[in-house]
Amino acid sequence: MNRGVSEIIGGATIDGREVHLHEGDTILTAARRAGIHIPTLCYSDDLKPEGGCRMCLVEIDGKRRPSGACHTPITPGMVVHTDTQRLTDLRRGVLSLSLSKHVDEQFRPDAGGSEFERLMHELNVTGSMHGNAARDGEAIDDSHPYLRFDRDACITCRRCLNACEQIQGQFVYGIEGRGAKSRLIFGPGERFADSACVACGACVEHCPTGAISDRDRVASAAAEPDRVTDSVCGYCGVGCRLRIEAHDNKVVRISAPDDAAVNHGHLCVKGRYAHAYHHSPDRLTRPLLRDEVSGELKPVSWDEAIAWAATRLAEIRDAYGPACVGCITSSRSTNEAGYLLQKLFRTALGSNNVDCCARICHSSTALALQTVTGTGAASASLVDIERASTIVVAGANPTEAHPVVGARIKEAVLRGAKLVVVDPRRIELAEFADLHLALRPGTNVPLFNAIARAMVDRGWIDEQYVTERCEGYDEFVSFTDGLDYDEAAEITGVSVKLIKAAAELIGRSGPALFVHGLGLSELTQGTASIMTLCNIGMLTGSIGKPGAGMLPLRGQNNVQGHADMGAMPNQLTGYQPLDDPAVRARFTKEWGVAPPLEPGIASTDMVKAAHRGELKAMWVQGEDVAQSEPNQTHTIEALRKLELLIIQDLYACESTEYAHLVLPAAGALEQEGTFTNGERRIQHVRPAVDPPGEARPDWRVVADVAAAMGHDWGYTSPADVMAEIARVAPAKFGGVSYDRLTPDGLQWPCPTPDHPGTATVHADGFLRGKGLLVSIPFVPSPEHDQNGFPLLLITGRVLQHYNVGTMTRRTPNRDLVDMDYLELAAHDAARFEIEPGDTAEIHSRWGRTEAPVRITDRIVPGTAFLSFHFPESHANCLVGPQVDPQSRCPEYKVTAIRVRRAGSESVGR
Amino acid sequence: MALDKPIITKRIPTPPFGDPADRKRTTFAQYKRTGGYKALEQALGMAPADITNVVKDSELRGRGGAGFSCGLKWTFLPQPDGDRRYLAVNADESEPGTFKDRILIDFDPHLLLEGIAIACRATQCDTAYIYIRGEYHKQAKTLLVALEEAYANQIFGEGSINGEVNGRPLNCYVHRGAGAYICGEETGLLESLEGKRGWPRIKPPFPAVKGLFGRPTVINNVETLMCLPFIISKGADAFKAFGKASHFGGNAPGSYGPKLFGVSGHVKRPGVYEEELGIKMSTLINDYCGGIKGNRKFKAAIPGGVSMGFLSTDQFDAELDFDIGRRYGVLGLGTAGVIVMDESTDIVTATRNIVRFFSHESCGQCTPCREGSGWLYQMLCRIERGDGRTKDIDLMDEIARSMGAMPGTTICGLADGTNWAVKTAIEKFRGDFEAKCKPSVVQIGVNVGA
Repeated sequence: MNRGVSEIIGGATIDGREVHLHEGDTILTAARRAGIHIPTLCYSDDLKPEGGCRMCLVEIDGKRRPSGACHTPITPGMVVHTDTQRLTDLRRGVLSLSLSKHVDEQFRPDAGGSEFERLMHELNVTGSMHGNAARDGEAIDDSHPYLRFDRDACITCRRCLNACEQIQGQFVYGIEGRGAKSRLIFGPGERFADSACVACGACVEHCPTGAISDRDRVASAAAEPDRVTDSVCGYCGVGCRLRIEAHDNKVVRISAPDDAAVNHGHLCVKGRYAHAYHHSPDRLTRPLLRDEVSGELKPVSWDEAIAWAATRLAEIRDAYGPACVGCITSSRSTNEAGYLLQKLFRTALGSNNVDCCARICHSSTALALQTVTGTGAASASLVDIERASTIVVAGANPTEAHPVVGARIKEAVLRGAKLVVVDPRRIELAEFADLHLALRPGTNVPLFNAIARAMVDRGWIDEQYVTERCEGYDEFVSFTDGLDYDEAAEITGVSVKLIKAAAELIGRSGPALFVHGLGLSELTQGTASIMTLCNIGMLTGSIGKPGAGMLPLRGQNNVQGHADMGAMPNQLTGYQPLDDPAVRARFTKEWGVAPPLEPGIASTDMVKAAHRGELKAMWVQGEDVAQSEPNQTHTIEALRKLELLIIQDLYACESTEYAHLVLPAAGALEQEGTFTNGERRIQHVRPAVDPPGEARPDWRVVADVAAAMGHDWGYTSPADVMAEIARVAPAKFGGVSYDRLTPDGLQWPCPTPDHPGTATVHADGFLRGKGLLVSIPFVPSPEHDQNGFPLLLITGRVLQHYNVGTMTRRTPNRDLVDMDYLELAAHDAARFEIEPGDTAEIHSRWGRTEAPVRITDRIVPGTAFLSFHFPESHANCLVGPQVDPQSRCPEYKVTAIRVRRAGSESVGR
Repeated sequence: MALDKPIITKRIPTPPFGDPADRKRTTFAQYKRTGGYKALEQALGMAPADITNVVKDSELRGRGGAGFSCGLKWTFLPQPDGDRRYLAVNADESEPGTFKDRILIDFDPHLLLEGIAIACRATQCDTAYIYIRGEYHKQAKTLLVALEEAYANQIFGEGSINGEVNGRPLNCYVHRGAGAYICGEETGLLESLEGKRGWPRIKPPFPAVKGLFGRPTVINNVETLMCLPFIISKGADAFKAFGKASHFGGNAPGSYGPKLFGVSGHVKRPGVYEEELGIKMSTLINDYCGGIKGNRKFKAAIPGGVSMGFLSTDQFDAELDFDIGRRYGVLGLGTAGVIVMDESTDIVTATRNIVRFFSHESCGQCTPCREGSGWLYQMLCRIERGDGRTKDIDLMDEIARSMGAMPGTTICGLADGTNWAVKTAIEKFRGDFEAKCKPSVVQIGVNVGA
């Protein structure tokens, strides 16, 4: 990996030319920098030299034997020859030997073909000197929905194997047999589909012969792309950069630019392959209005839809007052769309009832970070994963939910970083961890407090940092002094020994990077969980240091952005207070209307208010609230009571059943705007294909409705909207403009046009002045210790799917995983007389559902896990109405349940 | 001068000094009684650098095949930094025709353990692993028994006479291989010890700097280590009294000390014999092994493991020392496991058999060896069957030379071994090949660049 610029340390001679040498150069890297070409086959810039193909052999003066250029260090004064007749003969001989196992005409020299064929062309080798093998009809393995393996084309160069290990940390491939009988295998199974492959595509990118290829690309080989666009992934909050190739307005191929700051050329199964949902036949292509007579949704023109929406919104506001309307902006849509929808509600409708789905995921995180550090976002950046000496992953499952980050963490650990995993489940990263604290769901607070106590007791803290940068230490010490380790162990299920070991590991190995997720925030003690984790971050002097700090993983592509944009009932764009006169003056000047002073209500409360009949109209942008909100039965009842429900979405979904107006939206690859990832990086999103039918970008629709309500904002493009955002929130976004966003965007805070953006927040001290150490005792969840409900259920994601599945269920990912499973420990399965393959009937105090059971040792007895990707599983029927009292975030991560085999009378023991 | 008494095989009855029927494992008590572990005690009174210097002065060269200076190899290790340093003992004796280490371990295991302790003292290694060939299960057990005795008698472990090295007690472990020849290659051995597939490593870094588990590591052969007690107790000059300086004069390293020769093939009394380096092969065969079986004529021999290539009929008097490669057109002395072939031997079949071994044992890492060895084997089968053409011989020679004569095209030396066998067979016994081939009418498919 030869990124970055280093000093010149001397010179050498290659093919008679003087070349400069840099630290760590091999003959190959020095030659390439000088523009001297040396043929290679098993080598790749981003992998460690493998040295097996022997194609890059060169001769060195004074050395009897030729040396592999890719792995031989070049030293000052060395004289190297790369292009002698002997070497050419040798390379041609080796290439011919590689060909000897392959069927005739499997490969043809071709200047524009695969890397292997280009090499044949370059060395003028047309075929093998030793006959050819017969093609084996069984040689092609297309069992996997995305990947295809052609054994006849494999030359066992092992680039796939190295890419899999060194980029994805997945270890799928192996070599079976020796000598000429060596063959590539994918684990013990015979079929690709049965392997541990996570379909990240790294092997496909590296295979020089096309032996491993993308099935969709083979199928569309004839379709030369007519449009190539760089944009940003529309799935999780990592924000990987994409290069999208389209043909005839269809996506044919997605890859990643090697220089992308976020993903370095890497992607996951969703970002790389699961794009077919854009072209799903059930996309909404025309606005649909519910016919008052028939009750059916009927297609109407955009003009009619916009006029109708404007009229109805105004009527309801006039009839019931601005407190009776509300909106939820879409974290999957652009910043510009979210900004405009909150602006519409705050200006044309006079209501602060604006929120986004951050409410139901990271609202606790944002609030906690804001409270103790001064800003509600990550202090660290993804690049800190590579810099970190110690990583703590708490309540997050990155290898499934944020796969590119998961891979980066695995690589960091394989390179020697320490890892502590805090999660009730033995997630994949737990296998890589030095310590795994498998706590009972919802007991983060006592666990973190006990770890903090051990750190204080043993002096494993950064005293200077705490003294200089933090406040509340004395109270905190008297608070932790009153804690009892045994009690903490009893509550959390984590032994005292392990608690102390974690304190020692984190406390003694310097600043640590805390990667955390919804397992901390979606709890009744969510805000408290993150604050108590921040205590550890401050005690260890981690926040504001490179390679350390708080790095919450945002669930959706733009959930960070929508909170940033002011889609929050109590704050304006850029987290500015509603009641600050200077702020209000700035908004009033820009908007022409003062924003309402009274804070609005959160999305979870909007649903409750609708249920009570107090909220009459809702505009929901790209969120299937009926499936995603907790306590599903209650949510659906609430939606039914609304007088006006406007939904902008790609498809008809559970919620559109109750909508009065459905507006067809553009997908992530179909519109221009910006997305902000979890490390505060604002990146430019560009349309790679056009939306189907009459579907339109969200921002345009919102602006049109505003105009119909008499607020003509006059934007001609999303760039105009961003310019306004920079003006209303100068401290965070003052320096952000579209012409600065290529290639890798800007990380806010970026206050001025010459500001480079901020990788590490709080570097020069906390934004709130001093970091706040908080003393918060454990308060059990109402779901803890419920009689008759002996298991605690966690809900979450699996790798192949994304949230409520509207996107991934419309792709071949469905062939990988086609239903939600209830994961149970063997002990619990036996206790409730459930066997593998059974369907379980699951009851909580709030609802019931059924799901097939998977028995696994990845979960501790007493805990169960259910993903929520498929509507059939109704996972959110089970989740109760309780929310974090501070953040209003629902408790998706702890639900008391009981299970039994579907149809049985057993009640368990 | 010929050896007048056994040195390395002092406790292993071997003709002409003893009767193999009297051989049995030397126990710790017997070993100690016959002067064992005296050299270690002596070494423990010396500074590590002084031990290394004595070994350097003795010009002891590695007995595993490559013949590299043992003392010089030790000096490649960096200064100790307090963390672990390893000695890996290469007991993965797997090359056809080589069985000297097996007999040494069978009957005098403590000589190896004493050598290990001395080497650890010299190189300041705190942990030794004896990597023993998987098929040597009996020898592995013998070593375990000997190790138990050695631990019980404070040779290794907590409170041993070695005291502490790098802040740790000196420990020694036996690790069994799993049947791959390539694990006898020193870096393949390290990979295997680490629990990985035994694929040779790219060098640099060299094991002395970054070896086992990324730490400085010495790798020595069993017989090499067994020379150490003699060198320490009797001195470098006593060792150098055997063998001779290089025929090439100047600074060329000589061939000193006693050496074990394992003779197999068409001789009347095959077995392991100890003699000084430089003994004529004819002397070894006639005087020690009772001559060629059935009194047939000598045709060919391989000096030391099948990777060394063939000695021709007129090289019967070849002197068995480290100069043999340059003087007689073979790869080297190798392990000195001499395979003797009489006039009835078909060299094509012998070569095919050797190449079968190498293609089977090729690890598959480098293309030339992986594909080339399999290709050569198929070609030899074809010629043996009588389906070959004379042009095939040239093609085979060309492949053998581009893989081997321009040596080092691969990460390790296994491919060199394959090619030396083929190349010397064709060069020295071309008639045997031509006799089996049809004349070439058309050129056989070299369409490279056609």
